[in-house]
Amino acid sequence: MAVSKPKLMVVGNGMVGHHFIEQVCSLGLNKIFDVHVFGEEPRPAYDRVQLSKYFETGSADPLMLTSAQDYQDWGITLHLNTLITAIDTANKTLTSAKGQRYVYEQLVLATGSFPFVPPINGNERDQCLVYRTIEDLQAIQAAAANSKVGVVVGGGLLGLEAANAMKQLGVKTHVVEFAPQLMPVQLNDKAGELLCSKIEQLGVSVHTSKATTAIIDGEAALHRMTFNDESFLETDMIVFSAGIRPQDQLARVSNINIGERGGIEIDNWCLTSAPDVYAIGECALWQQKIFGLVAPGYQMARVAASHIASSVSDTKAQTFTGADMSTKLKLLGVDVAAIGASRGFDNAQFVELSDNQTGIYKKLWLDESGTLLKGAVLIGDNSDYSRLLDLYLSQDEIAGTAVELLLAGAEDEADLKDTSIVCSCHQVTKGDIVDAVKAGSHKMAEIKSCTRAASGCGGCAPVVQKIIDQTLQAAGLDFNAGICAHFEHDRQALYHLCQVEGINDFDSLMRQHGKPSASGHTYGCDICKPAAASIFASLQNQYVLNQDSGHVQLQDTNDAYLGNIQKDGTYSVVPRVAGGEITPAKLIAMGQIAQDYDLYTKITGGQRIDMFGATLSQLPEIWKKLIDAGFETGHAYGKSLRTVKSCVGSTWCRYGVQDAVGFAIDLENRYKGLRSPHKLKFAVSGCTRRMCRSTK
Amino acid sequence: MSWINVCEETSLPIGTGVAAWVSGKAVAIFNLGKDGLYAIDNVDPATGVGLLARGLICEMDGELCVASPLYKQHYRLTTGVCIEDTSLVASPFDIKTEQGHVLVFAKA
Amino acid sequence: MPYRDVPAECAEAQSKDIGIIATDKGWNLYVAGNGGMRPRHGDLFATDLSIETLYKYIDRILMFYVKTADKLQRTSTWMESLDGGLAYLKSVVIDDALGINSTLEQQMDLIAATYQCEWKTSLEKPEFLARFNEFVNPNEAPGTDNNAYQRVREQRFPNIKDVGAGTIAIKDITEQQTTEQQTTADEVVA
Repeated sequence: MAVSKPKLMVVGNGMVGHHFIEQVCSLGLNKIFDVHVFGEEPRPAYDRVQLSKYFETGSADPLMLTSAQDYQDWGITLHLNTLITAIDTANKTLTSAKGQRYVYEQLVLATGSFPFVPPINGNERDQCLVYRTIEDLQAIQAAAANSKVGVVVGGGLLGLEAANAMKQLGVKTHVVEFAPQLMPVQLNDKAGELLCSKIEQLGVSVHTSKATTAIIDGEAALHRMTFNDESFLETDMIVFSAGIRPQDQLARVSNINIGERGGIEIDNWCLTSAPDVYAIGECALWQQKIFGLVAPGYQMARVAASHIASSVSDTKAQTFTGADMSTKLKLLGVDVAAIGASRGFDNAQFVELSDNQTGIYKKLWLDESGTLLKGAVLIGDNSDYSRLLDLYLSQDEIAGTAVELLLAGAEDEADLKDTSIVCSCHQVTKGDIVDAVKAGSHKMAEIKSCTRAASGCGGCAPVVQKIIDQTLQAAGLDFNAGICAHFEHDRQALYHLCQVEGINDFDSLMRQHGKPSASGHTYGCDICKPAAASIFASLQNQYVLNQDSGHVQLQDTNDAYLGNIQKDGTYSVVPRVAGGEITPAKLIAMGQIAQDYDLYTKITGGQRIDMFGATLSQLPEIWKKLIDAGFETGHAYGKSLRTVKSCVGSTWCRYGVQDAVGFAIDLENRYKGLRSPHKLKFAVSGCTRRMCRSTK
Repeated sequence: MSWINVCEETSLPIGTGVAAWVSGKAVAIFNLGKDGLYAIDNVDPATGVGLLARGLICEMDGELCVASPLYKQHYRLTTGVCIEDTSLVASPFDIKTEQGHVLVFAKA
Repeated sequence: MPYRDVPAECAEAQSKDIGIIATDKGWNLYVAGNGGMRPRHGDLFATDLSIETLYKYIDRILMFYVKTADKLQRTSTWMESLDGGLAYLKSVVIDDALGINSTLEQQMDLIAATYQCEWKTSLEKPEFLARFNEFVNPNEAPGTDNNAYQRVREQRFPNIKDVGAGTIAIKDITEQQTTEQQTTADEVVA
């Protein structure tokens, strides 16, 4: 009879709970323990930090961190839709809401947090929502569909994320904050003020120093929110995002020690007051502190996993020693970063930069001696975040003055030390990424899966990409030969393939040589489609707007409507004037058309006449008249032969030796239909060679 | 708030966009054949000019987008959110066909 | 001396992709010149050519460029990226080093023979004109915007709007255009 494995149970399958499982697998604990994971939500772990991506893509798929299949492959039992309601710490058993009981040897609580909803009368009305899970987002989306105005209660980090989501859904968005400024936890008052004005410029209204007293029926909208200063705001939907509270209910009912203001108390190994029960992430309280960021949660996951491993093997357990709460993010498109003591402290030295023109604000806090960086806040430009964070974490003395540090700007990724942490969620150093690139992982997705860099909050992705590019370049590797994500070929190779294989439609080109999307689409993009259209035209020279061949869908902006689009969406019209020679009758015809349609006219450098301001629907009428007057298209909209410019030559010029104009017209007529990689211009001069030399 | 009949299904060529008026607002409609119909605001939020219907349909990292004809920002057809700058949004509209008619849901 | 007053090389042939300058004995051919923002003098490819030879060379050069250039690569950068540069291009076009000249000429003949004015074709087939309707339901259009244009120097200009990279007041546009080299005007349009 086989000896049954000891049981390791994990309650919670959020980001931290999932990270713990990844640690379990990398330590091989899934071979030693029978691991069970209980998730309350209907789907496995997803990326809560980037929740608003759900509205960008309209799908939960890009947010998923894992799948049920992964858990199966790891030999781990995943119980979704399963709420654990009680722990019997004496008998070491769990009870689920469905009444099932499970025995554990080791238990990890990763129950996370829940959104705090202020106790306001009316907060349970229709379309009063929170922002935490994908189901919450679906509810927000449904409410937004019939809302014109929305309010986010809470002007902190999460509140502004929610406001961004609401704005993306096309709802006029207001943010209501109790404190006198935005992000009162991270930002000093001045930085909060600046962020506020930047966000208001984006069309989000911000109301600070306002406490909501009640939510009642509105007159013009579904709700009316009344405030302590007697003012009110009418809105169709409300999202509460006023902070989080640790989800400690399960521990509380099971008599595990809870902090005075909530949170499951843990020690340096993440152990709770109950034997063999750990707590990690936002539900855990370490030295009276809750860590509401993903990076410290991941750190706790590593500590707990290492401690469990040390109990069954000869390894040493890590300890949790607190975590840096520095953060860098983009809120409603505005760069914001806070490092260390970002709100300052007593006796601090500081330097401050405030640029109203560009909306950039930076403040650095230093110790009394002015040599150690203790905190920083950055608004509008956080490109120097990694350099400042490095300096803050290392506590190296600053080189030069604090002002120089303030103005030093972005650090070149090449200058980062190999030991510098690039991804703080997964503790990945620059050296780790460089090594992975050298070992053959050249794409962002590969780097993400093998080093985990940029797969936490994603904030370091641009830096990681630069390190990849720099490493590839330094190694002399061709890092992107393909014209776009859909083809690994350059244009020359594609041209050759189309010529040799007689390919004349995009679908075949993509299916035979490109990379259709996972769903089998062959849509391509605005790089490969026009390139293919140009190649087909160079080879076959067929009508470019043909619907049957599908060529019409490939044409670039201007080719697609046989005109040059202008800044106001109208088009310019340029008939061919070969060699710059035009009869008075044609000039009059053109002038008449320009006058009839009130077109702006101008002579071009290519010796022809450009008429601006034709609307899309006027184009066919205008061209009908032009063609009736003997004109033809000038291909000004295409990557093709534009003009053959000429001097008047021997026909009139006293010094001309050849008929330059006649020759230019012939040349223009031979090459006028040619589609090429770029537009082409010719010129013919009829003067003598000696004359040209004399100008040099 | 109601469904507005804008045109016949047959007036939507596959693989390109057309613009339609819906309750005084210009909406860009894209017919992706077997992948269905999509509708977003025709006004390019980067420039304020109504022309997204004239953009090139693209697939970027598995997502369907339209490239603005003016400065080539990519807007997702599903949500209207710009890939390059998520603060730019061409609001999406619900769209469906019924007995050969194309119907767009007017919010206001 | 008559030379001094004559603006020689009136057509600025050396700043074009293909430039042709008359000589006493025929024509000189310059290739891969560029004007505009990144000027490059064309390379003198061959001298004193007959018209017949000129067409042959231009056919081959253009088709070879179309065949081998990268997307959106101008002839000037193409020339600089060619391994062997001008000498290599000469060996391909003049000495037929790759043995492809007759193919290149045939291809250009095909292009010339199948030329069409795309607007003429479009107007002849009404089904192609549907895409030029601004709206599928134009009757539903709200009133026209009379503030979209203004008149400057007796012509019509778009009114100043916050339009992305083009946030330029009309006055600045006109200053820009008058000070700009006329040779780049086609680029302004493009």
